[in-house]
Amino acid sequence: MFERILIANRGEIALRVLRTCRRLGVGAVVAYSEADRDSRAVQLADEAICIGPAEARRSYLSAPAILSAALVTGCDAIHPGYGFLSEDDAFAEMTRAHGLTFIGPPPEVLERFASKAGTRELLAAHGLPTIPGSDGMLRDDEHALAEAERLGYPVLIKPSAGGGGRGMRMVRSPRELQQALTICRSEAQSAFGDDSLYLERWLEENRHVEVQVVVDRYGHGVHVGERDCSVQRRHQKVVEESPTPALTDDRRRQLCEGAVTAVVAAGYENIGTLEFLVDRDGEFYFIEINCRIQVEHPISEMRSGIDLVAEQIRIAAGEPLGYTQDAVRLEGHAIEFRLNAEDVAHDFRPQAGTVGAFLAPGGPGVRMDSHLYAGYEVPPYYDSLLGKLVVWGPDRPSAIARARVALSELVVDGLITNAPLHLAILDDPAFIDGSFTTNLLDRIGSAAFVAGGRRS
Amino acid sequence: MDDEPSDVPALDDRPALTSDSPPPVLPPDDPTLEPPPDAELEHPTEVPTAADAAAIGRLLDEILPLLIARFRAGRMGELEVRRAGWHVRVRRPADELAPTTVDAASIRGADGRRSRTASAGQTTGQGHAPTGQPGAGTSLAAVGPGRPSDGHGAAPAAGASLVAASPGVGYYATRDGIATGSQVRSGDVLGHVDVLGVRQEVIAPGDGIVARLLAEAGEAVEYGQDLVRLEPVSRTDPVREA
Repeated sequence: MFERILIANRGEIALRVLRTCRRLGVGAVVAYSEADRDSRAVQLADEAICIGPAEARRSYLSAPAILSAALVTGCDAIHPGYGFLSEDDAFAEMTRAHGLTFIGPPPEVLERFASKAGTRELLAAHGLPTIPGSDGMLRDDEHALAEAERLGYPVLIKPSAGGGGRGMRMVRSPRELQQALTICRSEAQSAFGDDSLYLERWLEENRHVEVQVVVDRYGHGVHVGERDCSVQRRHQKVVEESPTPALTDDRRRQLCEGAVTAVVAAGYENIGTLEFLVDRDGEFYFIEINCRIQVEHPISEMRSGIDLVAEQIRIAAGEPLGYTQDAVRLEGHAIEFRLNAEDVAHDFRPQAGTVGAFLAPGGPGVRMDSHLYAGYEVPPYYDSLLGKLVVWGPDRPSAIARARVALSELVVDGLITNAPLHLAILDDPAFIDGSFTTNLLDRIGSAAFVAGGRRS
Repeated sequence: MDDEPSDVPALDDRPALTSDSPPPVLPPDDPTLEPPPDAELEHPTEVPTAADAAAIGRLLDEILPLLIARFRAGRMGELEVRRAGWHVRVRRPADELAPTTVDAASIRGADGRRSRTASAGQTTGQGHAPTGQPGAGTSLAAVGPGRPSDGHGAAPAAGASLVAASPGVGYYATRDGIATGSQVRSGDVLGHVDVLGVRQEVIAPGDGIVARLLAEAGEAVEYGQDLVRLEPVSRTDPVREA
């Protein structure tokens, strides 16, 4: 096991990793930017070190700054959290070259799974159904048009690198495709430094379901169930739940077992998430793998009792998994609500400002992962995630009931949040009966969705 | 290598340099240089005086373009400079994490009232983002008491000291020949921080005499850490008030 871990991230995930380090008895050093000097993780860390200015490129995205910070503070491993450098194989390689361990897949594994198109081919060869897509990366507009014609409109333009919906567009015609290509290229270039794009056939009325896997370096792997992340706003996840209401138990087992079998056979290591699209008939298609801890990991933890960050650290340290699928018991139903600093009334404009009061909800089956505290100033430089409210219940209706109570207790003063959106979702018939798809919010627009929820 | 002295002209008469940030570099052919942002000008009194007019002219002609250049180069979220009864704030929308344009630049009088709208004439809202606070983030928040200006700005307050800060995380070493009492000029290299074998220079933020070395050779330092304290000597030798 490691002696001392450098946490190279911020916000709620820095705090989440810190908590597990504490429980494992591992030292925790928090690397922070100037904008995060007063963050909760910095306050709680054994040691904190400023690595650069607010600008992420010179702090959380600066491999030299992070590695140097790890070395001068005597750390032997780096936890990258999510986003930033968490799936960067070059960073993982540099980490190893400096005698440190990257907490995540080893660099050669990250490299193997770095290309989305390549990963789809690899996992298709190991038995996962994939969604029809373009033949590799789009070389130029002409190639894009030809491939879109072959796949059939509508198609989804996706960047090879990154995630979070940036650089993604659904188009319904050649004309739309040509216009969107330029935008997607520049978005992908500015967000991920890589403008390569590919196409996928667009499934109308689809659901986004992902499988959490845990795989050690000795070829032992388990899944920790699936998560339904279909409640999205412009490709950004808003609410996630487990299990998905969209699949029968048989299909669920096929999905989860198929995912872990394929990924173990393909040589994956550490924790990871395989994302699938599920159509109306319950058919699932693999789309991509995320080689990191995910924002929505707590719902899997609530159902399984497994600390996924601890598993990530143990596996990176070379420990064997130590249990089999039989030992993974998934119980009840869990739902996560992403609390964002966004003004629902003004096109979800991100907010920054000082938190006046913060009162987290509680009670049985309620977990709040948040870095907020009264007096904390939310800086304007990073994403708008303020925390995650996670509820658990023995079944879906009781989880929803707990969510209503918890959301009604939550107080964040001084800052506008997207809590009204969550309350509207909890009142929506399609959400309550579980029949929603990824266009639940975008079909009518999130603002209209919230207004409609308030009226009824 | 990001921390080379900038070719952006210095705000040589700013009241105090309170940012720890090294000067940002303006990329030579930055593709993000969009049309100028909307600027909004506010004025403390209903009837502008001649001094106010001079100050407004100076703000618009000299300080604002400079701030915008720095702002773009540095990819900051917000930048605010207060001086001589005015403050200038340049801000990006909070939803642009890797923005390419500047949202708005506003110049406001001390009482926050608008008196004249410049540029495209668009009125910027009082803000969806908070005012930058000194020390938070990379904002250049040079906050000083406003006082009437004849257009030449205020000299650094007498007795204020300058501090050269660390440009990165790593191991520090003072440059040979730099010791307490050394006279240095703005931009001089005072030492370096070894970041994974790459030397990043510690630069004098102004003309002065080395008053104190705050870190020892071989010491691990963090970004922005104070390394060398200077007693300022004025470059232009302005007439100081007693």
